[in-house]
Amino acid sequence: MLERKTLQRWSYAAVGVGGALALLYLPQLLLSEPRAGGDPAFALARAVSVVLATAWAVYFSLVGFRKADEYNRERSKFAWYWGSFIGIVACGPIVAVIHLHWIPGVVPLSPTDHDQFRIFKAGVALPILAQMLGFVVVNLWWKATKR
Amino acid sequence: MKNRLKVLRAERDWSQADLADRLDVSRQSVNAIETGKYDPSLPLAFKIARLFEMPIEAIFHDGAV
Repeated sequence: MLERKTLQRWSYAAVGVGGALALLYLPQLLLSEPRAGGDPAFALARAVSVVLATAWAVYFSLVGFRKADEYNRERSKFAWYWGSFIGIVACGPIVAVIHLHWIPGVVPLSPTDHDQFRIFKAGVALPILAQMLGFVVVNLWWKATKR
Repeated sequence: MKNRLKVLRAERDWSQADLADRLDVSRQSVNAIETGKYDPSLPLAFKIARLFEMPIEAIFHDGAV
């Protein structure tokens, strides 16, 4: 049986993530698929939905953090600090592994790739994913060893 | 840091959940503090001391003579 504080924390997380995802995919639900070559209305709706989803997620993260007790706040801070650090450090080896074609389905960008947005997205996505993975791993380690 | 939280709690016949409720923290926190895996902040240590009506140093000690 989950205790009240844990249930409250999970509820904030669920509403934060669920609401942000719903906002993120709202343009796809309300508007028709974008035309080839770009659709200004869809692009604007997409930009607005990303801003709203981010604001929603940040708000519920803050509320959840403020409602958590100090043990869980400490766990979160510790996991973000060390998990993010490990994630950033791991980015170098991950790029090397991708270049060696060791990850099935993940193809490295070639020097002749001129799709700048694709390059930008890859550059943003890798450290974010690596940091989040690091956070999850350190968080689980804390839960397993300090309870 | 060592502490007498488990003994003091047992003397009052409180469960970890009872103590957690009185301190407004999660049961995980109480368990982690009792087992010495987590050191509480100064405000929480004061809250614990007030709850048991004892000075902090009668509950927590760092092993120094």
